[in-house]
Amino acid sequence: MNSKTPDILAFSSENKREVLSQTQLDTLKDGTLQILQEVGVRFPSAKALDIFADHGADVDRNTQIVRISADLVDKALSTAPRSFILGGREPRFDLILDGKHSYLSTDGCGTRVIDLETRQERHSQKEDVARMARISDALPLIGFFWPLVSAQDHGLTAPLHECHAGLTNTLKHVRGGTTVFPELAPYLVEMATVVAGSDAERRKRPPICANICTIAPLAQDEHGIETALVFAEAGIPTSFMAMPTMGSTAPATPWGALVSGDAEVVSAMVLMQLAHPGAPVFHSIEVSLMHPRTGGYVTGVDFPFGTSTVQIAHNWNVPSLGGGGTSCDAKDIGWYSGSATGMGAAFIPVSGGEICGYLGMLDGSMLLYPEQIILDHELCYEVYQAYRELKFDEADLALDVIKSVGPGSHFLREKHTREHIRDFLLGPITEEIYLGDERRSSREVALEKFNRINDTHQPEPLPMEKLSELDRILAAADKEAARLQA
Amino acid sequence: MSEELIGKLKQAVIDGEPEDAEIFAKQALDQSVDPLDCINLGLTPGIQEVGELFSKGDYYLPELIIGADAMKAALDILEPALVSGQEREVVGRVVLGTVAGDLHEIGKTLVGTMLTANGFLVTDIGVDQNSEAFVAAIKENKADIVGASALLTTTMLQQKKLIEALESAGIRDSVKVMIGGAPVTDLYAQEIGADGYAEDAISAVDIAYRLMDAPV
Ligand code: B12
Repeated sequence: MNSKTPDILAFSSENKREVLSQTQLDTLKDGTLQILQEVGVRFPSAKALDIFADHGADVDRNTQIVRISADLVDKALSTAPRSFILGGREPRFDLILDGKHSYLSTDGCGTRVIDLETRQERHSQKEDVARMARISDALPLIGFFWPLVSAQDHGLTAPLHECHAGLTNTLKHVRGGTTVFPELAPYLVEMATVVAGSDAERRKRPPICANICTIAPLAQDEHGIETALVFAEAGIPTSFMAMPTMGSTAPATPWGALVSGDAEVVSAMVLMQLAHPGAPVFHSIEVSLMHPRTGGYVTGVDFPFGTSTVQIAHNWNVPSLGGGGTSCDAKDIGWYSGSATGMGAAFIPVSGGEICGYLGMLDGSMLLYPEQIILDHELCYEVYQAYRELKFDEADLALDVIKSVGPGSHFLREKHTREHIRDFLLGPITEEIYLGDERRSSREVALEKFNRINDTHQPEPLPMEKLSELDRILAAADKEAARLQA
Repeated sequence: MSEELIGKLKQAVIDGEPEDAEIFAKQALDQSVDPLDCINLGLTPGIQEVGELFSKGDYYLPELIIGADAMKAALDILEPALVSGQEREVVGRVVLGTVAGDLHEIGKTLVGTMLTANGFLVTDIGVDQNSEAFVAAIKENKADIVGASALLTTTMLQQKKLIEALESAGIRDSVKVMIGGAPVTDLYAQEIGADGYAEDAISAVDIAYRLMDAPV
């Protein structure tokens, strides 16, 4: 029996709070342009250097550094679409990146999981990706599936298997693309075409998108950038994510980190537009701090980075990946994880990023506790409720009931009470904690809910012929990977 | 005179002043101060003090790194002036790098700094280095230890390849292999036959001491 995938709930971006003024945004933009023109960005790819040279950028073949004038940046970015669609299996799961909605994503690329049965930590596998895709399919606030962990049982083609596990286990949009050997990228495109049904449909409603990290400070990854060019040509949207770490790969101030991250992202977006004008790209900067004693990667910095990065993206007139999330550094579920994920969730609607959230992981996006996605979803649901548009008219005031009961007495016997007493939407976990005979820990209840979904939720499968097409593509990719490795 | 300069060299390391360290090192050579004394009585105690200040919590990583840089700036001048037979005392020689296909820089760099601050001679060959580059650097630097960093599950396989390359180059017995990086585990290190694994830069020092059979 197949289950029905619930409609996606998106946050509305009507409640935005702007932390940066237009003058401040202009100062940042000017800084980025100065960096691009004077310092440049390293592109260790002959292909990329050729494209830049053809369009008149200042290319140094020895250092592989490209300097881009402000004019060229503006000209190139003028073709980047402000709005595009991330397609789901059915149009009902399409995400429209237009600045009016914020869709929540799962977190991505972790390496360790707490095993559902043994509760011991182990390396992640493809089957974990598949399971998390099914769970995400059942959770309405999740709009976008990013493989939370890596398919470590698949070596070089792990990202392709993660994409496959996503496409075959949820009807929602899958972030199936990432940095791979550029030779493997066409297989991802092929998988997207099979699911979309045709080349044209893949361009209109791409069922997968990709994330490519820029290399702080001020460089790109050869494979990353060449993979992104393959995706851009195929109309598969790519987010370029800068990950400047204050103190190590970026200046130790928020503004310095933001401007250098921005320069990396913009340089990559410019290349995509020069090569394939109109290619869908989105902008992302994840700023972190180097722990000054241990060197560790600290994401929980007290600064409104989420909101700032969304504004910076929108100032370039492209959608943003970012703007608050539930991801945190905690190693286990407890007060710290609860407060960090809750505060993160609370910022999502005010930041107004198109894709944000990153649900389901702890330990700085490295460790998957099955129950965490349920807890995160719960927090996001509360935030969703808090920001929902409230609609009512005089009839909703129940004046007739109030008049009929009058002063004193009570409302227990009223038909109106029977009709509405169940309206109040309690979150799924709070509900069980309060309605059960005894108080249980939210973790226990969350795990129970996880298991229930895991045991019962089976999203509509892809048609048989598409499934076997995907298998064929994977087999061919595995073969190519073996060749590449040899 | 020589004592004063040696003291200045030590202080330049403690204060993290590479330019000063370079100037004092040049002055020392001009004034025929024994370069080995400059190293053993100036730079080494200087970096040890930096390490202690770090352990006490007075210094943070940026101070540790610039201290190591100051030491290196002076060493670059002093070492070529050592007469043959003279050699500075080091706990061990380490070649360090991030494996092929992997561009994660910071973890490896911090491990290098920590090892330097603790008396090791570290050659950092950078990121995205294939096994051949590691093997060449090990041979060139007569390394006792090779440290390979991998942050991606897809590049961890390169750490295994490195060990295979050491075997085929016939140098597996002369060099200890130490691995690390976020997805790497102790178990994985054992599986691929590495000699040591450390989850952070501080424990990397302990492991390196252990691999050198030196007291921690
Ligand atoms: C910062 C970062 C980046 C930066 C790196 C900037 C730079 N110039 O170094 C950028 C943005 C470039 C980047 C890129 C990518 N990254 Co990255 N990155 C990270 C992140 C968040 C932190 C790494 C870091 O600097 N940590 C701080 C340092 C101090 O810690 P460390 O590196 O772990 O090192 C310590 C120990 O591990 C140990 N150690 C390290 N090396 C060694 C060596 C020896 C010998 C020893 C003994 C010890 C040791 O000691 C160190 C000091 O204490 C990690 C996640 C994480 N939390 O680790 C992801 C992470 C490693 N990246 C990841 C990914 C997916 C990528 C990309 C593929 C993304 C993409 N699609 O483009 C690219 C790959 C680029 C490439 N070809 O390498 C994933 C890997 C997942 C997987 N399954 O493999 C991770 C785990 C994040 C995640 N969950 O998504 N990344």
